Amino acid sequence: MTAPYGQQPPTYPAPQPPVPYPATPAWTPTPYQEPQVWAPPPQPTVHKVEERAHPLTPLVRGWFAVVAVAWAMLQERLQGRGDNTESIPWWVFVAVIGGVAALGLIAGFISWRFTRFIADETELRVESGWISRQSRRISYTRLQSVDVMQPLAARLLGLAEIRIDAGAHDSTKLRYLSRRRAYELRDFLMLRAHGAQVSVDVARAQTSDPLFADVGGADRVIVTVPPDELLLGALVSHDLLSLILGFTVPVAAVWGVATYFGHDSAAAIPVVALAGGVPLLLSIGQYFARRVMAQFNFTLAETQAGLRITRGLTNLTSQTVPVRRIQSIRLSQPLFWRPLRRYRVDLEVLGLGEATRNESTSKVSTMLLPIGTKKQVDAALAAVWPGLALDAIRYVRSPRIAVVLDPLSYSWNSFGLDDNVVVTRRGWLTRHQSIVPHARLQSVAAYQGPLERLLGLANVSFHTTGLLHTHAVIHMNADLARTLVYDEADRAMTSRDGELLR
Amino acid sequence: MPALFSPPADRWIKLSPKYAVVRIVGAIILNLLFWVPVSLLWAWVFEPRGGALGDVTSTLPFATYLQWFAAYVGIAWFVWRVYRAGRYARSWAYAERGEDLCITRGLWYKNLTIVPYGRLQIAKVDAGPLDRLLGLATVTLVTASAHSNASIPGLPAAEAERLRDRLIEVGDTLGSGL
Repeated sequence: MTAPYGQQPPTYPAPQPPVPYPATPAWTPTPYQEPQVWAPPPQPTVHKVEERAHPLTPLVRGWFAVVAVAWAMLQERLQGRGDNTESIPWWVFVAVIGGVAALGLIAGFISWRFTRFIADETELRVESGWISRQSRRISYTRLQSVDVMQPLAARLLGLAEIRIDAGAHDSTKLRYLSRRRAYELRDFLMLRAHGAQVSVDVARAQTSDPLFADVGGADRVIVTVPPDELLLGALVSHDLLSLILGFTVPVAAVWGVATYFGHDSAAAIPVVALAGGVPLLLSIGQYFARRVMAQFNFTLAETQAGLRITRGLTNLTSQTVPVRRIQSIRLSQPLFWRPLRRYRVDLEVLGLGEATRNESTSKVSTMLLPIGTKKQVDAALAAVWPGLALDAIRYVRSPRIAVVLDPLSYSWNSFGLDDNVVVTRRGWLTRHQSIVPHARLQSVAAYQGPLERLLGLANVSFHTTGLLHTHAVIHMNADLARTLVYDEADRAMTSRDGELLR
Repeated sequence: MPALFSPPADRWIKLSPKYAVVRIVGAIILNLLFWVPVSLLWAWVFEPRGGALGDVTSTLPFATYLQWFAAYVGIAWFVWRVYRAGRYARSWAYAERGEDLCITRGLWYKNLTIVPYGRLQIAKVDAGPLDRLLGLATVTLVTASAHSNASIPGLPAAEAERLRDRLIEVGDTLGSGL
């Protein structure tokens, strides 16, 4: 028996007793009785919500094709002017762009016309397709995360896309809804995913409609990252260094060789500066712009439905992650961030199949914090696992002989344990620290190569559902590894993450 | 203190000795499919006269040996695999320990994987044509993690099925969600 949108099933009126057949032959018709109208209970009733995407959707979906064709035609026209061939007359130009725009609009309209979103008591259905119809059903209990994306074109029209992750398949996209409607639906879905029996109306009452931050009145902001921090992070990153080295090293090498063979290299300086310097400056500018634009106004907030990450200048991305779905967390610190005492935090969520680690896109990413101080990191961690006591954990380092195998990371490679989590540290160019709750471990493995066996060392790795990272302790004492691997398997079964989540 | 890969309980349960035969046949097939074409291609490229490199090869040191270098490597590797097949098959073992299954394997690169029964999502049995001929089967444990990679090849078919049924039964009672 299904309850209408989560309430207890109302008691239906008892069936009317049949009118007794009069015994007397002189039959007089009983006056017609109005059937008793069932009065709904005083709570807000929720019926099946069924709706289409926003009518402006075809415009957003079509504009990209129009721009691409216009760009191609423009290039053709500009190049055609250079040689003596007849260039394309302007009316062809306009007609082709108009045709593509019309085709795009028609295709967009057809797809819009045949797409419906239906939210009923237990599941969300997305029906689409004209020639071959598709029906996707997502049970609320299977929802992993719900993200709201606003690409620039959609944002200008006040539209947004909802992206729903459920399991390992690619995400279901609802596009496009009006921004307010998208937030409402997101809040409703996330509350349902957390098992709250709410109606659309209640979710609607809690939703706010902010233009930039997606932080509602009831939400608690944990960390915001100001643009200067983002610039700092971009400036001292390995990406920038490799970008610069990738340009300068080949140029310097060619120049050095030319000088060695007695060419007059001084004359080549302006040419080299122009040929190498301009693209280098352009790509550095692009790198900064993309990274800062993607991370702009990064806000981590705690909402009723989980953690919310909002970021972006032109494309606004809003990810909501249910805390219970977080499988592990990793802190990383690139070499040049060490003196600045900044960290980056990533998380692994089951079902974030398409997530990237890239800092420069507006796509769904694994980032919990792009750059932050120790204090901000602690605040973010406390929002995920309030019971985590990271500073109280004692770390066990590798035996001294391990210097032979990792001269640079020997002092960092270590592991630590408490009742709830196992923490592993490794890496030298970027120092990583992985935090895995015992209750989230899928399996444990120890492995040992010939050289490690000679030195009495072994590695232990902890397997979680995430594909992005491997959590491993490398080159630890082999006897200790045996104890760790068996005890960890026991802890995986006995531990519950109740204490962590509190 | 027992060594890292010594049995967790009383003893490891070894694979069927017939698994060595599977390894040897596998090595033969790999040789035919991969090393033979590679050797022939190599021999053609480095042929001292008339090969793909022309006369250049004849000026190289050990010109005549170089022509069959890939074939020598292939033969050496094949002999080594056949020689080690028995020991490799014996290195692979499993044991049930309380609430988890331990699997160990490898000679040079040793590995010990422990899968708690509660994390088991699928336990499956496969048998290829050669396995079926020898009455063997592979039991694979699938967890929610792609890294787990826990499988036990070369079990006698009856034992494989018994193990699978037992795993599913225990997994059902101990199962915990994600």
